[in-house]
Amino acid sequence: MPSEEEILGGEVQRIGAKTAESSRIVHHDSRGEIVRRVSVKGYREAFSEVMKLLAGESGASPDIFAHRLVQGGTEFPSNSIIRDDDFEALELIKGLAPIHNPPVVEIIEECKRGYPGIPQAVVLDTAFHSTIPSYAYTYPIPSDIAGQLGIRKYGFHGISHQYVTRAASDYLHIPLQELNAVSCHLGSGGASICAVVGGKSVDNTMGFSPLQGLVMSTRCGDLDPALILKLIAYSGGNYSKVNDLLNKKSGVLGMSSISSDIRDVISRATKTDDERSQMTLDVYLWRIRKYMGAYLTVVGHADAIVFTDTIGESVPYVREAVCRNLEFFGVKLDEWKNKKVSQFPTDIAAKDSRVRIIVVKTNEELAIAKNSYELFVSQERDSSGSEEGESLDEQVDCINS
Amino acid sequence: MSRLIVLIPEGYFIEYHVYSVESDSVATDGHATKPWEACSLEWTGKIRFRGEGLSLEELRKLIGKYSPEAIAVRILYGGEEFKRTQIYDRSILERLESLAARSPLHIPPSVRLLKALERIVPTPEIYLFFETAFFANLPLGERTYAIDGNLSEAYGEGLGDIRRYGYHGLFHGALAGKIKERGIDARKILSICLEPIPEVAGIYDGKPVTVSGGSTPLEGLPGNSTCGELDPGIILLLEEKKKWGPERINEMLSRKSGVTALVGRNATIAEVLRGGRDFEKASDLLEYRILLSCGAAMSVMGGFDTVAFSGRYVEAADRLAGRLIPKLIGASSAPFHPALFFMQDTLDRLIAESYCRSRLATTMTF
Amino acid sequence: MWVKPRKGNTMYTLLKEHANYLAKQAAEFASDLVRTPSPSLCENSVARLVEKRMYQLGYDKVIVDDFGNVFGIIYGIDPSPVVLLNSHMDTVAPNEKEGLWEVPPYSGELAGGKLHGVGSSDCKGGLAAQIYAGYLLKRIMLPLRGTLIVAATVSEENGLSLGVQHLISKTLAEMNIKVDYAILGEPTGLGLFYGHDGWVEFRIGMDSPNPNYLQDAAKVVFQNLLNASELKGLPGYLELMNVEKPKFATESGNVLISFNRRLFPDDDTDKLAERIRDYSLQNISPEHNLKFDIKVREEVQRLQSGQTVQVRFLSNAWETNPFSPLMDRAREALALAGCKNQPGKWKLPHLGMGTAGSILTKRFNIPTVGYGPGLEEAAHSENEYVETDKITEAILGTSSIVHSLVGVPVFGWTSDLEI
Repeated sequence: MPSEEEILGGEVQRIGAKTAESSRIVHHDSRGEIVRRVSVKGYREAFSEVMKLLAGESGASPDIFAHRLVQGGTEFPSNSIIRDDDFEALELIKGLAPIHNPPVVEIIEECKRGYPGIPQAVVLDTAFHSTIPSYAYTYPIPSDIAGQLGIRKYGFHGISHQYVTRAASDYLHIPLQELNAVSCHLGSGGASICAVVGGKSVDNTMGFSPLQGLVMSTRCGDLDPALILKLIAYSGGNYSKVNDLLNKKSGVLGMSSISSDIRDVISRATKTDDERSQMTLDVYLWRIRKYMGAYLTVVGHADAIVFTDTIGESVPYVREAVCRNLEFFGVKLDEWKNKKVSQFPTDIAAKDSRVRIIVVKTNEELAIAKNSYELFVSQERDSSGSEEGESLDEQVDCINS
Repeated sequence: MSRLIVLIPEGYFIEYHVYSVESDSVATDGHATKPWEACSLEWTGKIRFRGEGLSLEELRKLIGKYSPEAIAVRILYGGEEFKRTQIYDRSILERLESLAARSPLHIPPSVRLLKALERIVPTPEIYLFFETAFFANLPLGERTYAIDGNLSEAYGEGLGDIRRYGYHGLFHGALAGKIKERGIDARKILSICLEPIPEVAGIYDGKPVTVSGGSTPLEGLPGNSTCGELDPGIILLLEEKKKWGPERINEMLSRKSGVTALVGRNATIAEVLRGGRDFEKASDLLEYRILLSCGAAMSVMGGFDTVAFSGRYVEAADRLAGRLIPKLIGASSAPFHPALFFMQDTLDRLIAESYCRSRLATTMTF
Repeated sequence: MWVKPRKGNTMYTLLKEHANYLAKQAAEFASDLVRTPSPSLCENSVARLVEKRMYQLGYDKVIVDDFGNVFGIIYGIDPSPVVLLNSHMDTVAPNEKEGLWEVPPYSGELAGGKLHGVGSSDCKGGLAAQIYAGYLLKRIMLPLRGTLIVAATVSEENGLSLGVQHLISKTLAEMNIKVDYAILGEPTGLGLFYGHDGWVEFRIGMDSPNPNYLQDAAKVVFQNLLNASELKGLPGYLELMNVEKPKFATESGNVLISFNRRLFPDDDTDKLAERIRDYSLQNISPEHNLKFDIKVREEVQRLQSGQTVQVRFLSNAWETNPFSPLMDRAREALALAGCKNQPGKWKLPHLGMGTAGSILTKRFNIPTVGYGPGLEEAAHSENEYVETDKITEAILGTSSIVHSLVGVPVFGWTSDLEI
């Protein structure tokens, strides 16, 4: 891609909010940050406000629209440029991720309507995990049900894991197709670990849904299926109450009851003798450690452990705790380097550690842009036989909730 | 002739195993290396356990025929209430009954069995062996789930204790004991129990630190017909899309999943592990899941030095060991040779040996 | 007599085993019940049998209330929800011509896979099944989180669920027990029934100072009513049944005409009465101060316990939402237990048949379904019988439904039987 610099970016907040505060656009560019009040009730309106804003800036009119899809199902199994006949399929996939997909589809349709000449790309969170082998993505349940409902492990945070894996490969000067790594995307919201062999994903702690795997800010992660059934039965069949409990009221928040952010819990646990916080921290770290060991074993000879996203990038305590006592696997962390992380990417492993420990700042927007650029370029190459060399501006769509 | 009868209630049967436990009898198969291993199995059979009158009579006949000095009863779930083997007395009955809602399929028949045994006079001494006891003191990080610990208020008392247990504690515990007795230098054991629901436990210095089971045996490794670990989102999906109630989902996950679902017909763990064309898909998945469980245990223990197999399907462990152990060694930064241990003993035998050991301990003088 | 057990390793296998084991005992008990006559208002002897059996089986409490209802309670670890299993103890008198019965009506004979006798289908087979279903749960020691009440009630067949009304509004209310679900043991052929049409008996009283005019008017009204019952498809067709000839009370000089009509779920008795009144008075000149009123028949009846009650001859149509949680759980439970699970409604082939469902749903707002081994067609007929296999399946099915409503969920536990 010609340049990886972000020209400008921003966020439309409180779309369709029912609160007293109105919607607004938080916009930053080289001059600084501006907050603009707007009135947007839906995603289409939000999009047109953003386009208005961009029209007012020079050099900011997009050449490509890139959209991030959490789940593409069978209709969109991999990253692709949207074709005209894809619009029917787009309607179908709305139901696959009922919170995340519909807004994205709406905006794609709006782009087509308002700017029919600009190509659009969809980049999937699950695409990187399409290489997970069947013995890892299959759940041992009757195959007719699994087939009917598409029940298999999809994995998530693929865009991020792919990006940091590549960054680690560049940093360590190990060709991507030879890199074995365990990539830990530890966010302040969701979190997942990815096992990477030969630069490809072979497992991910999230599964069919983002609910599986690690302890997250408000999600329970792994849980006994019978326990969930009991919760449903005892709540009188109120599955949405249980859904709410497991997705929004469990995890760090559910255990500690003081905060959904592990940093608050760390502070409380290390500075006071509050047992609940200590227990929460213990369980949070324990689960990461177990998956760390499991994936180091799956990967075999790992070249690197990678830490990224909010907690992975900025909380040395967590990195140190989950890498402790792993000399068996050849993992040895340098405590001083760990505490003094100031630039990214950086290696915090001890000199004699066989496995490097790299901290990378994830940049999903950039990853999406790069993916889209590659898609666009290869499409152009296929159709016109020449490569485009002009600078590209990309509008990247991320719905974060 | 001193005898012990081991009773293992299973669904609507009770398996009984009659052992002679004379300390001076020598086992003829050369297998025993310690005095308490010199108990020998005399007879084994099943009592159908439906009608109280019926099974009481059969129990009475059994006990009358063999005049055991003691009876050992295996109970699956003991919760936090029972953390070790117990000698039975009346007060235990009430404590057991209070656990009935937490293990509704297994506690009630055990209670009925004990009540029936009480009615046989003279009542021999009864020892209770709990499968969960070995795991009662799992580390906090291992046994706690990432949900609100106070759900009983909002959801009801019968929710049970929301913590992890292992359900083959008698195998894992006996294994750890035998390895130690044989003088094998083992601090970090990967204990793989191959039963209808297999279980992997990490045992560090004789104490379990990880186990694949959950608040019920359903969580963990896939079994003959049980699904094992599953994304919670799948259950919510089944409720939402298929409008199934929890009983129906439970039937599917308990009866139609596991290797049976992968093979496409009734199958057992043993068949799958022995390999064969039909079983490839199931075998790959099962081995992978076992590998993950072992890896998780290895990180908590800081490595491993022993791999041990047990359970009723232990004869199928050869092939598994051959495929699994190189991968486990491969994760290590330095090459090494772990100790390998296959324990062939059946559950009833382990219970008998445990009884003998305690029996000898009280009579031996130094 | 045996429900074929399917191999498996969960709770339902155990329930099946035990249901099969109890089959013989339950059938014999049902036979005892049949052999003890219990026409409406004379249920004492059967009540004693029921009380004794529930006590022997070990129900936590067995109570006889002041109306003569008998009920047993099994407590769980929580007081609610409360499930009521209800079957009535009374039967209709055997169809008059005893010569028509191949087997004597009170023989209670068990032969050829059937229990014969009056009340076998309606409702003693169902009563036995419900009593043994409760016992099955107690015996198998699956703990409950809620309360189970198995109630044998009086005075159902004489039309209007007096026993049930008293049980709920007085007896259980005084014990502070509020029922959340009700399952009737009425004959459904093991279908899962969620309602039926109703019926009403109207009486028209007419009077006039002029006796001749009165006689003519009565004839015209009678003819109008007959037309209403026969002329299908015509506008204003009223579907009346059993229109009786006018009865003249010579002393007071007034006239009484009785007839019945089916009630459908949307029917309003008052509006219906209005329409019938208008229809009846066609072609009658409104002279001579004709007094005309139309009312639902009422009567005072004396129970065996000595109490008297005012009885209204009206049974409302009722329906539980076939997609309600009760129906959903019941269907699922039956399917999982391997039992027949066919939703449907009672047809009430004989006039005067009804169930306590209308009272339970309309007066007390209790979701109600019916699930019983008897057959509607056999009920109230000569050579009434119930199949003993169905009694066994009813024990299994009822206990499965009850467990799905008030049982401690058995999730995640399997027995190690290899399948």
